[in-house]
Amino acid sequence: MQKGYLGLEIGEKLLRFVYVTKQRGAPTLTRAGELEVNLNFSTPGALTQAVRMIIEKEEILPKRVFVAISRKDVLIHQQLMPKMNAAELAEVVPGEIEKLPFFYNQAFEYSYTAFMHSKEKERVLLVAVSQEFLKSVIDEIDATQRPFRDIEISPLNLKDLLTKSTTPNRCEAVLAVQELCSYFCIYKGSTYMGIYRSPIGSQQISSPVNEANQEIVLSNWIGEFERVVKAHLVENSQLPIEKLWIVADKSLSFKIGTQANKHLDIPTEIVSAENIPNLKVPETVEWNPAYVNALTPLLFSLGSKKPLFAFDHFFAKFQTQKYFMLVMVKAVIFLMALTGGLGGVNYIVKKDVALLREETKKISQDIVMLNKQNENLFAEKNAYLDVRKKLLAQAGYVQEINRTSWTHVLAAIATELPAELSLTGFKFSESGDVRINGDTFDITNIAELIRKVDQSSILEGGKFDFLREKKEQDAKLFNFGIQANLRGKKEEKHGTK
Amino acid sequence: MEQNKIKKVALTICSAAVLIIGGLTYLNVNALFKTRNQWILKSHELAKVKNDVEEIQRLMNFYKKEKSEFQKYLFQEKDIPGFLDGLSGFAQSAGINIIDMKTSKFQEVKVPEEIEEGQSELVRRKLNKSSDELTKEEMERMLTLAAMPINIQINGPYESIVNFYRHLESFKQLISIGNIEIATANNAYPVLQCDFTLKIYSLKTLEELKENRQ
Repeated sequence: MQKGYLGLEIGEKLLRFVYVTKQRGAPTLTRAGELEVNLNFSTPGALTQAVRMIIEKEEILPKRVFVAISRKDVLIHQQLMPKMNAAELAEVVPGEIEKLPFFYNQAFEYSYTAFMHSKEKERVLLVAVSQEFLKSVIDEIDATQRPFRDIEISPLNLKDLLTKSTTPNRCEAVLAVQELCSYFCIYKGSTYMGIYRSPIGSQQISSPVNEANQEIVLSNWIGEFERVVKAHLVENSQLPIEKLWIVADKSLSFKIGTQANKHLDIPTEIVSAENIPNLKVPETVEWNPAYVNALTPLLFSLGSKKPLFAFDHFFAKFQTQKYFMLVMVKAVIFLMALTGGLGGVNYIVKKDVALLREETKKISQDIVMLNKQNENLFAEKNAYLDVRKKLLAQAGYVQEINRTSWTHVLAAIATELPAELSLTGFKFSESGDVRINGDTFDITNIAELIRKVDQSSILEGGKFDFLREKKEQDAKLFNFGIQANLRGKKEEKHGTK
Repeated sequence: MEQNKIKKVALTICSAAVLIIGGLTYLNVNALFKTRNQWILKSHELAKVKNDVEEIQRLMNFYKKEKSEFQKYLFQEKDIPGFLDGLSGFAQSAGINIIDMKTSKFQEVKVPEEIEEGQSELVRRKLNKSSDELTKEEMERMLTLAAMPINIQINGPYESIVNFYRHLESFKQLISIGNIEIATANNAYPVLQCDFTLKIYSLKTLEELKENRQ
């Protein structure tokens, strides 16, 4: 089966359905029918079960579900009110609904539309439905897990579906017969001129056992509307009702039409498939005028025309609550996952941080302990390094002193100094000063000695120190002293490097 | 419209939660990295200290070996009598008379400042602290090269004196000879009189030298 749209009409005991698919771009009624179900919502799940059964039995694939409510516990009421602005009206309307003995101690959802009545007054059409009932309907349809976001209160938007574009300003009426009540709506174009509710519905009409009784019931019932029509004509003498549409179950529509023709003196037409613009109804589908209620929200949604009464906000409030719950659940799951995930990460990280801090502390203690334990070792090492440097300096110094080989010096003196001299003494100090004392008969030998000292391999800087003359066996003997330096020592002494 | 608002509020709450918990996580992870870096630094420091201790122990062993090696070239207190006996024995066999031999106490070898210049100021200050400035432990630990001057007076022929010096210079241990004075001895030529200072060296602690002085 092709995917399509499922329209449902929730009555008192009857659940009517229509299934529309698009064939060659045009909406086509491919399935329709009704089901007797306990729709008092005392047993949760009955509606869900019924819808599932329809889907299964008819083998349909609805991609969207539409609901029309046709019940006596829905308030549709007209009231004349002084003209006021939108804000004032919004404030007044709930109070007016509460004044009606309809929703005693019950929360309700409502909608309203104001139409011009006279210069001072306007006609306000109120629609209200119990919140509990509305919630049950939405919950049960939602439970079928099919996309659902359109609700309609029958027969408020029927007129817009039936008004033909060729006769937009004609005054017409719709007689919509529900199971336990019926509505007589008079309208001109898009303006409602009156809406009347009768507590007689298809169940009361069908209940009499014989034809004669049924005719009496029908006659009395239509008589109610006769008075309505007369009242309309008194009020609007220039606007006679030019057509009456009959929307009722197939089994009663003909009889109702006949009675209406007889009593109301208005051309009557039972709503047929042809009266609904753009809808194709194949011969395989048995038409029932009552299907138009289930078709109304569906066809408005598929078409470009907007209905006068939009009930989106009924739906929206519950959908919003549901959406809110869904978002809350998702948010909570997300937050739990986030808290769980990142919380876990944080827990592990914190644990690691604590562990690392403890280990760092332990390492620091180990370092302090190790330093303390080896304090002597470090001091010993430092002292040893200092001592080593000092010892090297001392050893270097002693080595420097010992650079002079005295054996070599004495051997050199023996071989390098003049033989003509008699040396009486040498003196070598550690600082490298050399003092040579001796005697000679020839004074020139002293000069020769000084010269030789300068040429010597071990001495240098020879200079005259003293000279004493004395007699030795009639000869002159010169006692002399010469000062010199050990080669190299003088430079060291003066710091030359 | 309402649903969009709900969505926005939920997204705002979730984003705020993400930001708060994310921020906390960031702070914690940051703290973890910092702590980890500190732990790494401390671990490296510990490893370095352990390594330093091992290295110092190894160096200390090396220093001890080096010290004992150095001591081979120095005199021990117990070696000195033997050395002096040996010296008298050699003098006799070489034709040298030892007229006088006078030993003094060990004294620290003072290094002239110009040689010390090579060392850092800190080391010099540390090493040249007076004994009053050092603790007993430092004095006991501080080794120094000490010299014992021996004033020797000998006489003998010139060649014998030269041989005697050659004999002294052939010692393995560190010695030094200074202040040599050779003179003729009262017309006893070729016998000459020779005075000199022989210094033998040993390793001493400052504490030992202090006790020596006292």
